[in-house]
Amino acid sequence: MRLTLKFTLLLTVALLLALLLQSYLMLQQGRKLSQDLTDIGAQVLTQASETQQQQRASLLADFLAPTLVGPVYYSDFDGVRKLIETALKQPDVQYVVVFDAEGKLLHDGSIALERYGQPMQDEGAKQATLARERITQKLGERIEIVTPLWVGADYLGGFRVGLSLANARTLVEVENERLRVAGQHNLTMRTLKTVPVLLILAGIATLLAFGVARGLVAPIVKLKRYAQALQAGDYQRRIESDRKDEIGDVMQSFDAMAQAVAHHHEEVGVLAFSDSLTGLPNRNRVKILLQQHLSKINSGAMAIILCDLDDFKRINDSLGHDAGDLLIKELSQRFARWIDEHGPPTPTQFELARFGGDEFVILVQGAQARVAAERYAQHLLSGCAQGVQLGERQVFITLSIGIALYPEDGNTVDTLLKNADVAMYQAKMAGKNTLRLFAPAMVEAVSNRLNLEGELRHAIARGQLQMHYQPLVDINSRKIIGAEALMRWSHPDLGEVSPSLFIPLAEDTDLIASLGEWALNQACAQLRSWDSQLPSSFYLTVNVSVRQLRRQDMGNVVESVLAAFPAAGKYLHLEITESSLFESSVHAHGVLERLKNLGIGLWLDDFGTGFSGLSQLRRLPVQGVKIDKSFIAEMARDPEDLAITQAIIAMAGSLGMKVTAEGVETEEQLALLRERRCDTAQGYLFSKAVPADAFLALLVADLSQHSKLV
Amino acid sequence: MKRTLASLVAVLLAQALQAQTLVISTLSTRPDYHLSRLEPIGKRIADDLRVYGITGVRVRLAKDVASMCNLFRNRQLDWAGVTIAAAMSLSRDCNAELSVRALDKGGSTYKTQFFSGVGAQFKTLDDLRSHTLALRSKGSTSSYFVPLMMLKRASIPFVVHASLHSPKSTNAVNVVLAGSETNTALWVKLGLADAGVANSSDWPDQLLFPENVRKDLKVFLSSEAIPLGIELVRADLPAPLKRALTQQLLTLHEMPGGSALIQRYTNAERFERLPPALLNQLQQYSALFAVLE
Repeated sequence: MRLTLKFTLLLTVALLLALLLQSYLMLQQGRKLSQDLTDIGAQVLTQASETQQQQRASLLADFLAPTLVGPVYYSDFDGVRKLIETALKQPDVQYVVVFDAEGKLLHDGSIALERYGQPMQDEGAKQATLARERITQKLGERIEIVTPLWVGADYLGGFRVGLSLANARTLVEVENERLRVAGQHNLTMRTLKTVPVLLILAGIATLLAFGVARGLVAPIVKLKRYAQALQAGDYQRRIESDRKDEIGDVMQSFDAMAQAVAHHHEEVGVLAFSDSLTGLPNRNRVKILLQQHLSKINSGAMAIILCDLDDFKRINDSLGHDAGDLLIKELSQRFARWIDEHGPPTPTQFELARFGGDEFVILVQGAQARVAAERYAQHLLSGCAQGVQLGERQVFITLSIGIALYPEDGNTVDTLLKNADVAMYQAKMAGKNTLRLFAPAMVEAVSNRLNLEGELRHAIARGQLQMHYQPLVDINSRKIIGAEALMRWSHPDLGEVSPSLFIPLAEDTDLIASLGEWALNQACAQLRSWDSQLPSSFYLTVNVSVRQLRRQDMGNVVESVLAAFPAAGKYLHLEITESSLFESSVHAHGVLERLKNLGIGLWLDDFGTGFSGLSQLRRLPVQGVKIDKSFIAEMARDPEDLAITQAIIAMAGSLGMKVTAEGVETEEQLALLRERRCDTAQGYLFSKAVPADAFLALLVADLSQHSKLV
Repeated sequence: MKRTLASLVAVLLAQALQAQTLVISTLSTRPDYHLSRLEPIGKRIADDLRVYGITGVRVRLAKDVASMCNLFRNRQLDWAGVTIAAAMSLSRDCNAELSVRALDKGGSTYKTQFFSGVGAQFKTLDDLRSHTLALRSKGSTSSYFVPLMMLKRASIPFVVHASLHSPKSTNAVNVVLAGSETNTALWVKLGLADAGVANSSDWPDQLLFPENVRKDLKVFLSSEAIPLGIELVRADLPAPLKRALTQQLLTLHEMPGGSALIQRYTNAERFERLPPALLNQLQQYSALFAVLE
């Protein structure tokens, strides 16, 4: 119920109750007054009726006295009787008796006069006998007038006239009842007359109550509307009140509060639409700008450049978040500066925004938006290649850039942003540090990748993954001295999925951690089953991803796996890519030290692709390095690769490390490596990676062959 | 001369006009009662006398003999029925003459009765000496003239007292006038008087002698038979009209409804001419009544 209605009802009820109470009291007073009047009226009537009866009795006595004297004097009983009869015919006359001077009955109106001569002994008789002048007696329910009869000085006696008051009483009662009824009627009429007055008063009371309620509620309603306006974003509106009372105070306070809210809203607005770190417009602002552009009737062409920093997490993880923030800030300034320096002339407009953690969006408007966008994107790529100085350290960062065009690639904000994202994703897939313009086919590719990711997530549980083993061969004797455990994914629909496809996918997601742990368990389990058949010098290398290494609990994971398969410990080696070592340098050393202490042999995989310096390598607790297969592949034809390979072998040798060459496919490559004193080789020249049983067969055969040779 | 002639014509005219209405009367202390008794018979007689110029009837009651005497003397009355005492007086002195008498089944007379309390020992008039005898009033035939006439005839002295309280004679009969039949009876019953008299035809009348009064009384003596009422006519009525009126009265009982009218008028069956013996009796009474008046 609305407040006005409530107040109105409440006040109306209160006023009505007061009116009803007042009316009730008035009616009660009226009743009492009516009763009092009736009582007084009864008294007056009684008194008046008694007086009237007395007067009538007196009149009768006045009539009888002179007419009775004669008959009494002459003993004219007949005459006396006729007079008495006449008198008795008068209303209310109960009796007329004539008595003599001695108080004896002379006549009572009867014909036979049976009581003649008898002394009067009834009530009032004595006073009547003694009366020598007229007296009035009230005897019970009657009035009696005693009149003495004189003839000259002779006292003859007298007569008594008795008038009943009963009829008078009845009359009084009737009159009284009439008075009471009249009073009641009067009261009823007055009550009935009061009803319309009450109704009018009730109406007035309701109007008054409504007025008061409106007066009370109006400021509240005003406040409510003001609050609604604020809610709707109208912060310009001010609430004005010249009231000096508490409500005025409330309204002033509310206005002050609203102004504060408006101020905060403005601040929040700034925060909501700008990035706190760079001061650039944020994602929300980008969407609004896009929407505004799309809403224009003749909105021109637009390009959306989505720019994502490659491996930005690596920066955050290795150098810390402050460094990451600093990098973002520096890049944002550069990007802005490059717009000014290299942006095309007007009418093309650029709007730089930070879209997310390591994502920037540049909106390019104008007829030449596409060209301008591509040019600018290329500039970004090349500009970043120069590296960024973070304090004393120079960081090299690359970008993956996706570009979506309006109206070609979509006409809604979400579609355009999504397609720019798809294009950027394609750039990532294409090896990063590049740009891609959106093409509809990309959607399918991304979709496929997402599907593949979904399938990979269930691969372990569905038993689609297996571990294969590729022999590690002593270069000189070609004897199998170890193996590298390699993961293979056999999908029922997709068939054999290439590790080059799903390993990076796992690397890009968190799946690599669980896959790595699974691989470790599988390898150790395999080692246990092979334990009795393995030579003591045999070792099995398992790849450890950078993400696994980043985990503080990598040591614990290995420890718990070894606890489960104690026999595997003596065979287990781990391979860590050179680049991952670099990326994880903050934590890597501690983890590696712990692994080494567990008796685990460590290898640097893909060596030669990273940026490890000799000094760094020297500090690492590694057993050996594996030369990346890209060097081996071209070694025979590219002197530079051969030189690098040779340098690596020499450097490792100087540090007492073993060297394994990956991807050895030809005898020529093998010979070159042997000549340069490489220790171990692996590659299709010897065997591709094979299932456990096949590997065991190879191993057994190899052992057997070499034992014969021996 | 002219003035004298005019006066004579006026008188004659007035007489002629008066003659046109028959005026009848009686002595009455109850005018309503007697008016209703007189009017029907008066109308009938007047109708019958239309040929004599009578056009209507008028009842003029008289409260006493003197009043009626004046009416007869002033020719304001043509016919009246009265008791014999009044008839004697009026016919003697008041321009009235005896006409007919009423006669009923039981005869044409009544008696005066002497009564006393039931315990009294009166038997004769003489026993009433020194006692008080209550009569009704002067002028009453049965209750004044006749009893006193009887005392007179018996030579018993009597004194008519002004009131009950007057000193009583020890030798004579102390006569007191009660004023009415009821008073007479009550006085005797209550002992204010020792004896009283009553008309024998009135004695059974409950109004005059109520039963509860009469039960304490006893009649110890009665008078001789006394004629009922006598009809008087104005002496100077025109002779033909006077004769016609008398004749009408005498034959009325033979006319249809006539007896009822007579019955209602005077409780009699018919009228008859006054017999000679009655006239003699009346003559005697007249002398005595004249003394008593």
